[in-house]
Amino acid sequence: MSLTRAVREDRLGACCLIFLLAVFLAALLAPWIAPHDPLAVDVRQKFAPWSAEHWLGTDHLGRDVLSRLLHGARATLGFSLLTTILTLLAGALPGLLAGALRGRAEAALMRLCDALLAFPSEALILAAVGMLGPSPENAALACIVAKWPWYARMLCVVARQYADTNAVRFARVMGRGLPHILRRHILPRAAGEIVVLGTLHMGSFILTISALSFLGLGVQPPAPEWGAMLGEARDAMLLEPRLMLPSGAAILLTAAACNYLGDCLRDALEPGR
Amino acid sequence: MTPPFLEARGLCKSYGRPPRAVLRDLELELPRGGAWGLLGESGCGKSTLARLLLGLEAPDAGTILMEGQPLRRWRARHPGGMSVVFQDYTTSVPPQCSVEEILAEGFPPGGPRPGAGDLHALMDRVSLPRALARKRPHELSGGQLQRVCIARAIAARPAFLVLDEAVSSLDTPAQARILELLRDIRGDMTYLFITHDIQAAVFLCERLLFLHQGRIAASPPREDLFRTTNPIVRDLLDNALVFEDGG
Repeated sequence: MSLTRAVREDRLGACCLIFLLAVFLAALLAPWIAPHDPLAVDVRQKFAPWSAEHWLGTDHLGRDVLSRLLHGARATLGFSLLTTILTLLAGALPGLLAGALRGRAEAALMRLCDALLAFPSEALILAAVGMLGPSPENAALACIVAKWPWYARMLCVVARQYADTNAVRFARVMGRGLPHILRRHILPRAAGEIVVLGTLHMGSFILTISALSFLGLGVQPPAPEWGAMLGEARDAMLLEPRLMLPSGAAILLTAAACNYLGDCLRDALEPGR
Repeated sequence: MTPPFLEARGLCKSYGRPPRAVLRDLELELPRGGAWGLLGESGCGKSTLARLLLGLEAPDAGTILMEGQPLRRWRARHPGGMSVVFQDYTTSVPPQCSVEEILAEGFPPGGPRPGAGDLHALMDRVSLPRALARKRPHELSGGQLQRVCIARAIAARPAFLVLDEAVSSLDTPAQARILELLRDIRGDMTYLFITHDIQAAVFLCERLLFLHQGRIAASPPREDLFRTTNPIVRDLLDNALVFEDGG
């Protein structure tokens, strides 16, 4: 079943896709649709309740929460998307090559992945950010370093499966090189699986980037970011617990939508569908 | 003295642990031109031999020479010089490609891109309707798809064509049509027709090679096949006849 048809036939999957597109669009248009400056401090307005002027109220410095949420989406989704794409590239390139080449190249990559995957990825990310210093770029880099072996292993298996077909054997008999085999036989067939992996892990990267910012290791104040906003709201949790709702719900719903959409696409790729 | 077209000396190949020998010191010499049938029981190493001759796998020991040159060098000097048609036509083509794109892959790599005229001529040669040019593999019947595979295999006018159980997956009428087609288009190509079907081999090939316990046990010409006293050939013939009597 094609991925587009799978989304059309699964209502919840379609809702998740529409929701994610809306969130991404809102993040893109944030400078034009945000009602206030996300960095403008007005302590007289601190902890203002939800109102017509401040739809989601204000935080402990009187900054408009909706504006910070919209601008924060740019940081959270932007860094998560960038991390997903770069991790996929970093893992897919060696994984697909090793799976197509087989033999020693595959064995060497698999043993390297085994060694890197022996470290718990969360500990590796925290250690990498600790060494490199807290910043969103370093958080993304740490995620890429920790997660690429996982993608490499998955896509090596995918490539091996497609490289082991008569179609590829014919190309090899004809003297076609590796670039042709990858372009014609492996990439088009692995593309669906790469999209599914990316969608499934986008949710995980949203959580990781937000968690690092929540701990003060990602996006630094006063820049808005969902995890950082949740961290600031935690400090005022006893006074104004409602402040945790917007950023917490945004993280939860976006990550859940990515995960469900990924599940829907993965089901579509299962044999017999 | 002109070297033989294809020469295999002392070919050995084993699989698994502990190693199970599939080919043992196999010796083979084929002259240029003609159709050679390779017969034997299931699992006797027919397809393994084909993979070695096509350069898809390396032998554990022994050498393969084409016109006196090592296989790798000969292939580099003759792009598209050898080709293959597999039994399983469904996995032999990329499912996302059209018939035109599949056929284009059969032309020699590095050569000029084939035009519509080249592709149509190729389709005509295997009696494939031109209307199928833009169809995808799942829109074709088994016989049509195997014709696409044959057309792709002969596009580069290879000197050596391996037909690995190329008609075994088809129903009987489709088998007969494909065998007639293969006989008609042979020209100066050298066929190695791998099969367990003696009737099909006799129809297509002038000489038959019987593989037994990893070696070529007999290579009678077609005319002498039913007169041979070789016990391995007789055993295969008798089993085929018993099967036909029972049917």
